[in-house]
Amino acid sequence: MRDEPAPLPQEVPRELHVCMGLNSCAGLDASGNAPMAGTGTCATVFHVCHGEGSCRGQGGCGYAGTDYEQFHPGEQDCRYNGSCASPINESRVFSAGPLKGKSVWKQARRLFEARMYAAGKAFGPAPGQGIPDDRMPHYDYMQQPQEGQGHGRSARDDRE
Amino acid sequence: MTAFSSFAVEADQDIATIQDLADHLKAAAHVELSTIPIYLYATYSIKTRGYSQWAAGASAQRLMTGIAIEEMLHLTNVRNLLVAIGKGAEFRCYDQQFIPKYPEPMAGRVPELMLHLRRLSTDQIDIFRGIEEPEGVRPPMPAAVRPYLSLGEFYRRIEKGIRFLSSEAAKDERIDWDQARENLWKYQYHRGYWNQNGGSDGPRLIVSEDTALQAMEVIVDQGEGAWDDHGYLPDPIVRDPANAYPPPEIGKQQASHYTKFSDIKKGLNGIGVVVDDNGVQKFTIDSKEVIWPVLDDPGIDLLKDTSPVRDLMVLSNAVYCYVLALLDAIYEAPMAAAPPTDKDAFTKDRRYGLERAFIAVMQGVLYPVADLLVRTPLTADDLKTPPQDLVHAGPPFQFHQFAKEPKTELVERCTALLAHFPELGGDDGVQRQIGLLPALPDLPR
Repeated sequence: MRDEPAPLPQEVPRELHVCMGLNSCAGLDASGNAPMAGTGTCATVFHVCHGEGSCRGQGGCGYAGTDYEQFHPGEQDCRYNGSCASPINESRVFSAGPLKGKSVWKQARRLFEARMYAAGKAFGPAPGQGIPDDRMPHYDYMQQPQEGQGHGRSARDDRE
Repeated sequence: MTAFSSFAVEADQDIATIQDLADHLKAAAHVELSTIPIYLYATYSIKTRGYSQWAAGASAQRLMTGIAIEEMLHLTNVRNLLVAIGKGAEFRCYDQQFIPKYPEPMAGRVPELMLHLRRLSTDQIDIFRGIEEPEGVRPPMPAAVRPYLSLGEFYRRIEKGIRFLSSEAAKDERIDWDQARENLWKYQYHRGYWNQNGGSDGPRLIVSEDTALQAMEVIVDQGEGAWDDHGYLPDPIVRDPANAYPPPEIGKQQASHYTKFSDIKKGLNGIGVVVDDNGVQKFTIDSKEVIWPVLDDPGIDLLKDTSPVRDLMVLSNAVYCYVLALLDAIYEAPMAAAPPTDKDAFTKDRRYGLERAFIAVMQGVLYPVADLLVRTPLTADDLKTPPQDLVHAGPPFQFHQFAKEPKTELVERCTALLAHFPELGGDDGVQRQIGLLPALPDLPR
């Protein structure tokens, strides 16, 4: 296990979103250099799994969660409501729900564009459709198992 | 006899060598893989996609999906153990001898249990219950005539072998767990597993006698239930002492596969509106209104060479075999070990990319192609023997010999089918997902 959390792209992100192309204004992406809304290069929040988002709108979606939960990547109403890891990798598809088998990032972008239309704000093209599959976020780094690691207690141990 | 020729294990014989243990594990892997297509096929035959709480069949469909994913977990745990004992290189999933051919008898089981690709029905659920049948349900047979009566019995022999081969009594055959912990763990499958409809145990990194036994315990308990329980189990089955909350007595419970299948048969986890306002049972798993009338054992040889549906079934076979070949590629690419001081937000990692693609190809290519097949009726123009009743196509889950690099072949086959099945294309279809897959240039020919 890691001693302390790894740093985020920005220590204090000014906006929380789960992937590239989802920033709502210039300069609010991970690098702080996006020329306008919708052109950001990466997520400003990182988390590994279902229910781990610490604020609204942080669910990456696609791997687990109920049909309803999964339908709203990047648009959950509250902390801990989101499904799955952030950022969204480009091949990730929904495992359930009406968009089962379809791209998670594309749905996140559709919801983003709908929010921007509703707000009357302009936005630009996304630089891609999710991070490349072979870019491994820090939360999935592995370390060599130590002696005794993984020697958990099992249901059988309890019965014996 | 099974098509998997390596299944030469005798159930009443103790495992005394590492090679013997490896042979048992290869046989176990074949048994686990042989269940996955038949469970998926029955699941695909349920008409609903289950995307709302009111959609017909959501409960049965979710249970079935969760069970199929747990069978994948079992296959993973078995293969991880093969890697841990230094025999990983002896085994590949993309192997014509290893891939099940339906119909075929369940390997090594007595009495014989024939496995078919069939739609969901009471008869098929009875076959599934037979696969997962707990010990003690049937009376034991004379030792001389039984390879194994239940999977639990078979795996207990493997557990006994693990214990012996981890002890000093094994002498030169003792398993080198230090090698597993220091090096071979990198070649096991550990990340990239989710099962929203199943238990919360995931793939075990097997680096010791304890972790090996726990991996086997998860397989047996999830399948048929605990030896003294046969039904409901703590969830997870194996708990990390560092994350032991909640304690099992107040924590979640999970049903065994046998119990889940029994509940589907009873209609407890049903197929839609189980009872109408008059108290009348409306739909069961035998109602054709809620189950696609898919072919039994839909081999591509049943269809005419001129049929585009046959080409779609060939694509389905090719995708299935790509999935297995990709799994082989994952096991050949070591996981990178990062030092605790590594704080970079991202690292470029080929193995990680293969793992993400593995999930994506199952959900974004294998499933949509299968779903398209089960919704496609077959006519006299498609079948060599004209159908007497309404019948639909289905994914054949057969071995496919790639004629070229697999991704290239998938792209070409999918593109050629767009004229007949345009739903494969578009900006968010199967064609796009195939385009995102990694090439597998090192596939053995």
